[in-house]
Amino acid sequence: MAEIVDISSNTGCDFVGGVYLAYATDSANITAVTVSAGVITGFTMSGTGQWGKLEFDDVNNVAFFNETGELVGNTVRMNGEGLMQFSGISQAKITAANQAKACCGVVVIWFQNDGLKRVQGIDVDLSDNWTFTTPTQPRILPNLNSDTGENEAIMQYNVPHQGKYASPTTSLDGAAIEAL
Amino acid sequence: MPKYKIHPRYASKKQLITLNADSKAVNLCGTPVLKKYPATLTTDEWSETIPAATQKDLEFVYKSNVKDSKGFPIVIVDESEPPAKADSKK
Repeated sequence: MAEIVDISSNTGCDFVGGVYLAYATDSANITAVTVSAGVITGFTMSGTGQWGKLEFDDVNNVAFFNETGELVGNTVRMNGEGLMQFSGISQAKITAANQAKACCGVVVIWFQNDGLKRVQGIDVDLSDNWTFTTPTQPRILPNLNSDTGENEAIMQYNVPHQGKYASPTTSLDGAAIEAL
Repeated sequence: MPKYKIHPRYASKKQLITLNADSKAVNLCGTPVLKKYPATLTTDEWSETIPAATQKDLEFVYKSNVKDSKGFPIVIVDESEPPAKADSKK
């Protein structure tokens, strides 16, 4: 239903930004999703252990998951982009990057520093129907930078997507995701 | 009591792993699954068995309105099971 909903100003002052952790899977691994009042409360997977845990090395606080609305003709699209960073480059990380970029579409659960968990790669409409994001599913674009001697070598995953709706939240915590 | 089963369109699947009402992983396809965890810097490789879903688990999934990306339910009421007869006392 189209309407403008009231939004009150906050009284607190503790609204820290940033993300510190993500879980990601090839979207082909997800068979079904449970949605309740817009919140993703469950995933049904085609196998076990299909969620990769991505713990960032982010002392410089560069990791983020941002979404920006864009008017395309008379349609509002949501352009999302996430960035996660890992210190150092190794053959194991190069292999991981090559495997990640081979996924034609991914779903990423971003753990924000404020406690919110956002699911990138799934559109949920106002009736709790879900689809993988259209027109563009998230993909992982790796960067592997030696950088200069003044800095550290890093690997980054950029994760862009374009969807119809702002990315939903999930009630699942890390233990629940890892149990799948 | 109605009985529940996975939808026939998923009958060929060996694994459909989801969480039950207790947030424990179960296999909706009706067989236990061995889940292996690789070794890490701090732990050895280990494994655990994910149990087959019980009727209670299937009922939870059915009532949670779990759907695939086309909007079809994963678990349905098993219509092939005759409903329990009502008390036949006259």
